[in-house]
Amino acid sequence: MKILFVFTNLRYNEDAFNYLIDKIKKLGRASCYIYFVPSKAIPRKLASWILYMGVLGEKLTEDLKETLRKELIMRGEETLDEICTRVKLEGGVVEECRSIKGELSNILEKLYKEITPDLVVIPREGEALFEEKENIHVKFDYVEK
Amino acid sequence: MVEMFSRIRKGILLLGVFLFLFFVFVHPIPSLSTEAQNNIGLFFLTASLWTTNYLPLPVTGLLIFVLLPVLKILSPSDSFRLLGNRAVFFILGAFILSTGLLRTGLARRIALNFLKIFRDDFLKTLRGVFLIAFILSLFMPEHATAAILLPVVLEITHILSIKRGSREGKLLFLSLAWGAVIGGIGTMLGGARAPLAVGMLYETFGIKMSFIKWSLFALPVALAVGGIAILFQTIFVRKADEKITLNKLPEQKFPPLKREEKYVIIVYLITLFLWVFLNKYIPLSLSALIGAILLFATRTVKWKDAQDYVNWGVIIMYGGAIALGTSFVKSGAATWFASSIISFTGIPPFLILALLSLFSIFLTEFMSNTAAVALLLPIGFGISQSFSITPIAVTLAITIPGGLAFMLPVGTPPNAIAYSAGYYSIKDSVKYGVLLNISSWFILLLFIKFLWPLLGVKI
Repeated sequence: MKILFVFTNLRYNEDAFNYLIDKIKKLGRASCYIYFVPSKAIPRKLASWILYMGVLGEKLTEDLKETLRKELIMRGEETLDEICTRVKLEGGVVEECRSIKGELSNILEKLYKEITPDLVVIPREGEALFEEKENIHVKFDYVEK
Repeated sequence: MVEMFSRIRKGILLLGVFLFLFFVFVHPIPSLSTEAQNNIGLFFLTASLWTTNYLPLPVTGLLIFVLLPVLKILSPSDSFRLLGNRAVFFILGAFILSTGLLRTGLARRIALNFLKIFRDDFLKTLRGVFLIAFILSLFMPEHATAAILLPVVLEITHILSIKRGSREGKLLFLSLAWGAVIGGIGTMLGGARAPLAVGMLYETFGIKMSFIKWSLFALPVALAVGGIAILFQTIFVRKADEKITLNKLPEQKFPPLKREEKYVIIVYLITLFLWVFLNKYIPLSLSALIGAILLFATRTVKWKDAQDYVNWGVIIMYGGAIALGTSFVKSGAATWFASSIISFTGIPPFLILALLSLFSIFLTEFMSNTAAVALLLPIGFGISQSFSITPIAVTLAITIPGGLAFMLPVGTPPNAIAYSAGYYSIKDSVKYGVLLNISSWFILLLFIKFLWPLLGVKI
């Protein structure tokens, strides 16, 4: 069985990860394609808010955006490593484990065509800058053939 | 929560527009001149726009310059003249000075060198982050301090393997925000609030306030609130945290000071000398501009740098705030407004100042702190006239707490910048921040009651 697991900085939660691990345990063996897509939304929202409020100049705002962007990529890649290691430990076969830059919807479309997975797991958006969403009962989406 | 905030914002905006239309077009008030009545309408509209950020702050500033003549409150030339206020030029000079600190990398060098002293344990590291943010914000805008220190603090978290959501991470980033915010109230350089307030005080009552005089009132409050913040750090850090030590940090060696960094130090010292010792002869704004010009003359800062590091649009907001405040008092709107809010006579001035400062702390949590001060000051001036309180006391009691936003990211950019790193939630900043808000209010009251009279401001 081919499993596609895609997460971002805003789309990640333990429930989705646990679901993936449970599935691997049940199946005994599964080919996993795990990807991290860095979220552009957080640095972009902060930068646009700061420019909108008119407090920092463009250079400082851009520097700030870049700092956050690098931080988010580093953070996501650490999580990616942790997920892939755990999947291997649980008996899953990690076919691919890497980060991809770009728009999530485009990446998903491309991966779906290339891999033709039997199961797709995508954590739902659980937090965002300056706004904390409540009542997220469903922590992830999954599509199984 | 998001939907609730969105509804509240819409409600405030609609209320502002309604009150604007009501005062301008609908309801004539016999005891008020048309100018004053229109001014009250404009005040409500501006308040709703600044609270909701429906328009960028500078655009609301522009709107004030348009509506003052249209509503026949001021002539176009009188209205535009207020953009050339000395406070605006002081802010302009101070922003260029801070560009020198930022562009040459001197601010970052100072921060990293300073943090070397605080390597022994985690509590010391927290204090180091807090203190360097505090100190830098005494000399440059607090939001620029937070912006340059964010990468430094992130670096510390990586080296110490501090996890997101951990108590250590929360305290580290809150220390960054708190240091910048508290330091920012200490002098006139930490933000635009103080120069704006001093400008409004001068335009309205002709009262001048020097750099050193302002610092004599504001710096002790900043130091005392800073002391409380450090005490909180000590209480919140568990013993176990103290095992984390910055000694893991690789020793960073800096090359000797570059020529341009030396120039920035010299120019800052010259400007501070002018502000402190020659303020009777040279106005603050001129000294700030002299410092700025010296930076250009020594080729330390280029005009492109000033454009890159400063958001000049915000100057229009400050000009607009001064124009609104001045016309609000001069048209009689402020006195009417003040007497409508406080209809009782015989209220002790101390209680009035306590309430004004409390309201300032509350308001600044939800909107730009400069905008909060710009809105409250005209009302405060009206109250000072009605209750015979010296306008200096009102200015200080509104402006100093107007910078003390600790709870919400929208309160002030240092909070937003620290929060954006994702190491703490809004719940955390509210939990810790409310304690600091309450403590800082009590500290301010103690200073109003006991220190200010010694400095010549009798309540």
